[in-house]
Amino acid sequence: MRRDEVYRTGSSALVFDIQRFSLHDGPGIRTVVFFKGCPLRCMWCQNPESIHPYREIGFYETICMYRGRCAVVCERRAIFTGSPGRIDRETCNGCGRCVEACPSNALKSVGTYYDEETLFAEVLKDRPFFESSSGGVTFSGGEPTLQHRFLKGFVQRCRSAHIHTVMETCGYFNFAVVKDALSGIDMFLYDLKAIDAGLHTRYTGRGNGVIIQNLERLRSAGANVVIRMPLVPGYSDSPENINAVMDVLNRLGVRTIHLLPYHPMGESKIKPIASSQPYLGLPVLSESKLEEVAATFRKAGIDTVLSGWM
Amino acid sequence: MRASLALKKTLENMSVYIMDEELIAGNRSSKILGVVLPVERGDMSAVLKHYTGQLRRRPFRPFVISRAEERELRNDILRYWEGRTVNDGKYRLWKEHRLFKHAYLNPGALLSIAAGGTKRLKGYTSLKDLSLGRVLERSNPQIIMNILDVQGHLVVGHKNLINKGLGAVKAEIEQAIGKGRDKAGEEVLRAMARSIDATITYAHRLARHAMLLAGKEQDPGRKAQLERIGANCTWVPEHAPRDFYEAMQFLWLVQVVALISYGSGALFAIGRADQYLYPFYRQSIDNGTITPDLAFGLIQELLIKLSYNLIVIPSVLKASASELGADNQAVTVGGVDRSGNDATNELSSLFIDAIAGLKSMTNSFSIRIHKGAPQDFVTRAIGVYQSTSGPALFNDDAIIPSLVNDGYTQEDARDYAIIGCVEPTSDGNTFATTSGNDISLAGVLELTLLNGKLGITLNRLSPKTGPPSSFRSFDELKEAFRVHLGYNIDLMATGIDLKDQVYGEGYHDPFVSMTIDGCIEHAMDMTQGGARYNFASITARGFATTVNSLAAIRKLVFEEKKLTMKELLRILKRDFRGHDELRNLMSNKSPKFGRDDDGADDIAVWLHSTFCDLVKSHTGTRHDTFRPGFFSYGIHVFDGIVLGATPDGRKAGEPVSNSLSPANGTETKGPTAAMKSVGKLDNLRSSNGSSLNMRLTPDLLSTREGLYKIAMLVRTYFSLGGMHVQFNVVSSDTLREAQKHPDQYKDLIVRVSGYTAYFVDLGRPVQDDIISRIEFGSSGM
Repeated sequence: MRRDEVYRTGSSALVFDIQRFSLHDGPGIRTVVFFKGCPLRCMWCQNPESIHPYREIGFYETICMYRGRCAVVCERRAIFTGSPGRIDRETCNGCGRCVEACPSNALKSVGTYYDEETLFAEVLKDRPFFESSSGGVTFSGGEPTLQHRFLKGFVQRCRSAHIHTVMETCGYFNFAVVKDALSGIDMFLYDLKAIDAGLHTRYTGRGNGVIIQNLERLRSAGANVVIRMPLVPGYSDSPENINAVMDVLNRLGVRTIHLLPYHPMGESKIKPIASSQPYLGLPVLSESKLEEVAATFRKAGIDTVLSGWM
Repeated sequence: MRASLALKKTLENMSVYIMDEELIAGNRSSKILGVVLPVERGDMSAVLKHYTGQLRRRPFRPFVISRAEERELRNDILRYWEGRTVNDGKYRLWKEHRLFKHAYLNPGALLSIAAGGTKRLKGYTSLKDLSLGRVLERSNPQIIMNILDVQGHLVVGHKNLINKGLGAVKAEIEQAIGKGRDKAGEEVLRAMARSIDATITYAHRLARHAMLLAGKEQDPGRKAQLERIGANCTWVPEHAPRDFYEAMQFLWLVQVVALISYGSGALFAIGRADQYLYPFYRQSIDNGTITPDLAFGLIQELLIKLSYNLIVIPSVLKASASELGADNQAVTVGGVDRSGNDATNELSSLFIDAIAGLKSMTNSFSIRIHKGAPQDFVTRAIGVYQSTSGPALFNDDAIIPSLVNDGYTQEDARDYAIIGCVEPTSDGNTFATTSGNDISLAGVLELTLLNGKLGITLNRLSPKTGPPSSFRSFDELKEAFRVHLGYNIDLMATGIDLKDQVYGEGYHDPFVSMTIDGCIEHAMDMTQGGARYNFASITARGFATTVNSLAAIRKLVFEEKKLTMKELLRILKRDFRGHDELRNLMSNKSPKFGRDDDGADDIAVWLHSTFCDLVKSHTGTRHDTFRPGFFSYGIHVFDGIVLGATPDGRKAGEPVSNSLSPANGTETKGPTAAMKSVGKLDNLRSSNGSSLNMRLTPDLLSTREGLYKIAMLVRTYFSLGGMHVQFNVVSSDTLREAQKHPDQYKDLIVRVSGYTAYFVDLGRPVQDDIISRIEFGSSGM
C-alpha cells in the first residue's frame, strides 16, 4: 500500500482534521485529532476522507471559479481543468501546491503532516479549557493505532504535561506491536460493530476475531475501556446483532454501552475525494429506534449512554 | 430649575392608571408601551419632525398616535423647541470651535447612502430620508462617528434611597441648602427638593387612584390588592419601605419618575437589585409577611415593567437596529460584595429564574460571575439559555481591576453594575455617559487608505498622511492609521466635551442627580460633574473587520507581495468587480481575528491598545477621563452601508463586525479559539465595556453535562481575562424559518450586541447578519 516515508517511520503524524471544543468525544471540553489511515472499510464510514494513509486533495466543484491556477502549479500534471473531478488520483501525491494556489478554497488538503512539536503546540492551545472542564485530547481517525510509532512518544508527552488522553479505536491492530503506544492512554472508546464474523467482514472488509481479542487484552491489562456501538439502520441494528453484542458484554462483565445513532452526513464527503465508498442513501437512525435499542440493553441490565458525554 | 418645574407639572397632571392584575403601580406615559419624548434634546425632534404625518403610516412598525396629538407635537411642542435644543446648542458650539469646516457630505454622497439603503433596505427609505441625512450630518462632525444628543446611560441610585426614603433625602438637601451655598448651587439643590415633592405628590395621586378603584371593585381578592397598592403608595417613596413589597413599589416609582424626568434614550439601569433588595426580602420571608410566590410574582412584574421600553428611530436606521428594547433598563445580579466575598443569594437566583420564565421580554439582564462563584449559580445562569437568549455574563475578575485602574476605590469597584448593553460603573455614585459616542474603526481604515477622504465624500476629513502606495512597510501603514485614529478621537473628544458643556449649562436632571452619590454634597447637577465619579466614553465598532483588513494587507501586499497597494486600492474602489480571485485571497487565505492565530491577533492587540491609549489621553470639563469601549448595539450594520469594500474581502454594503466578535463567517475554529483571541487583548484597559457575542445551538444545553461544559467554557474564558460574553442559542434553520414565517416566531429573541430584540422585529439586514454569524454546533457529532 501507498505510504509516505514519514508515515512509516512515525516521525510525523498524518492528520486530516483537528477540532477544538469537541464535547462528545470523551469527558470535558476536548480537542480531537483525527489521524488519517484505517484498516477497515466500513460501508457507512462517517469520515471517508480518513481511509487512505496518504495525503489527498479534496475538490469542491460548486465553489470552483475555473481560473486554472491549480493546473499551472501542479508539478505532477495531475490536474486537468476540463475533466470532471479535476484530479487524476493515481498521479496526485497530495503535495498541496494547488491548494495554496486556489483563490476560492475549492481545493482542500486532506491530510497534513505534523511533527510532534507542532501538533503538541496545537493541542496545548486549549489547555486552559481542558483543565477547567476535566477535558483533554482525543485521538480519533481513521484508526490512530496505524500511526503507533508517532503516538508512542506523543502520548507520553501528553502524559507528562498532565493532559488527559482518549483514543477512539476500531480495535483492529496488532496488540504486541502497538501496545507501547497504548500504555499511556487514559481512556479508550472502543467500537463494536457486528459480532457475527461473516457480517463483520461484509460490512467492514475485515473479520472481528482480532477486535474482540484486543478488547479482552486491553481490559485485562487494566485499561479504562468504554464500548460504543454504531447503530446503522438495516446493518448493525438488527435484534440478532444487538443480542450478540449483549452476550459479549455479559461475558466480559461490561455494564455500560454508548450507542451512536447513524447520520448520513458523511456521504457529502465522498465525492470531493473521489472515494469508492458506496452511497447507502440511509436515513438518520430514528429516535424511536434508538430508544427501542436502548430499552433492550437496559432490560438486560446494561446502562446506555445516547449522546456521548452530553 | 425649569426642569424641576416641568417635572412637577407633569407629575401633577399626567394621567395615572392601574391595570387589572397589576400589583405594582406607576406609569411613565398614558400608554403601556409609550415613549416620553425628549424634545429638549433635539436629535429625537429631528426624527419626529421628519415623521410627523408619517408616524402612523410609515411602512415599518408604525406608531399609534392620534391626529390631534400629532398636530400638537408638530405645531406647538417641536416648534417651541426649534433652536433651543441640546442639538442646536451643540451645533452652535461645534461651529464656533470649527469642528465643522464644511458640509462634508455632498448631495451625491447623501444620495449614495440612501441608494445603498434603498438597495438593501427596500421599502424602508423614502426621499424624505435624504433630508434626514442632512440632520445626521449636522449632528455628527463626521460620518464615521456619532455623537448623539444623549447623556443618560447611568445606574439610578436606588441603593442610596431605598433605606432612607425620599423624605429623609429631602431633609439632607435642605440641610445642605442651609450651609450657605452660592446662588447656582442653591438653585440646583432647590430643584432637587422640588423634584422630590413632585414625586411624592405623584405617589399620592396613585394611592388615591388605587383607593378609588378599590371602592368600586366587586372581587374581594382584587379589592384587597388595590387597597394594598394604595397603602404602599401612601408610604413609599416618601418613607423607607418596611417590607419587600413596599421596596419593589419604591424601586419602580423612583425608576418611573427618573424615566419621565429624562425621556426616552435614558438607558437608566437599576443596578444590583439582588443586593439592595435582599435585606427586605430576607426579613419579609423570615417573618412570613410575604409568601415566596408573591415575591417571585413581584420580581416578574418588575422585569415585565422594565421590558416596556423603546426609542423612536428613523426608518433607514430602523432596518439596522431595533426600537423595542432600545431604551433598556439593565438589571445586575450576582458577583462579589464590597469586601470581595461571594454575594450571590436567594434573590439572585429568583431573578434568574424569573428572567428564564418570562422568556419573551426586551430586558437587559446581567449576571456577574467571579472566580469563587458557586458552580450551581453559574450553571443556573447558563441554564437560562435553554429558554431565552436573555442574560449576558460578566467577569468580576476583569471588570473590578479595570475600574480600580479608572480611579475607583476597591470597594466601589466591587460594587459595579451594568448599564445599557455592557458598560460597568459603580452602583449609584457615577455619571459616566457610557454610550452614544462611537467611532467606526473600519471608517478610520478607509480614511487611511484614501489619504484622509472617504469614498462617499469629496472633501478631506482627516489629515494627509500620503498616498498608501508610497508606504514602504506595514509599519508605515500602521502609523498612518494611528494618525487618522488620533485625529478623529481628538475631534470626538472635543465634540463630546462641548455637548457635555451644553448639558451642564442648561439641561439638568435634578431628580436623577439627587439619587447619585455626590450631587447633593457638591450642590451640583450630575450634568455639571456633581457625581462622586465622572467619566466620558468613546466606543469603537468594527474591530475584527479592521484587524482582518490590516492582516490581509500585511500578508498579501507586504509579505507575499501578491499585489501592490495601488492594485489593492483599485480593486477596493471597484468593489472587487472582476477580481473575485483576489477577493478570495483576502477573505480565504488571510489570517482572521478569532481563530487564535497570531497572524491576526498581534494586530488586534496593537489596535486595541492604540485605541485605548488615544481615548484615555483625553479629559473633559467635568474632570472626567474618557473610557474606551468596544461594542456596537447594531449600529455596525449601518456602518456597512456607508463604507466601501474592505481589504478583508468584505464587499461594500455588507455589515462590519460587531463589538469584539470575530467577523461574520470567520469563526471557523470554534468558540475556544475566539475566546483565546479576545483573551490576548489587554481587556482591563477597555473599562467602558467590551462584548463578545457567540451563538450556541440548543443541543449543547439540552443536558446537565452540556450545561456544565458551557459553564466551564465561560469560566475558562473569564480566567483568560474576557470581560463579557453572551450567547444566542438558536439554529440558523430556525432563523430562516422565522424569516419565512414571522407570524409563527413572534417570540423568538436574539441579542444584538448587548440588547435583546425580537428577531422578527429586526430589519432584514440585521436578520441576515445574525444568521451568517457562524454557528458553533458541537464539532464531534
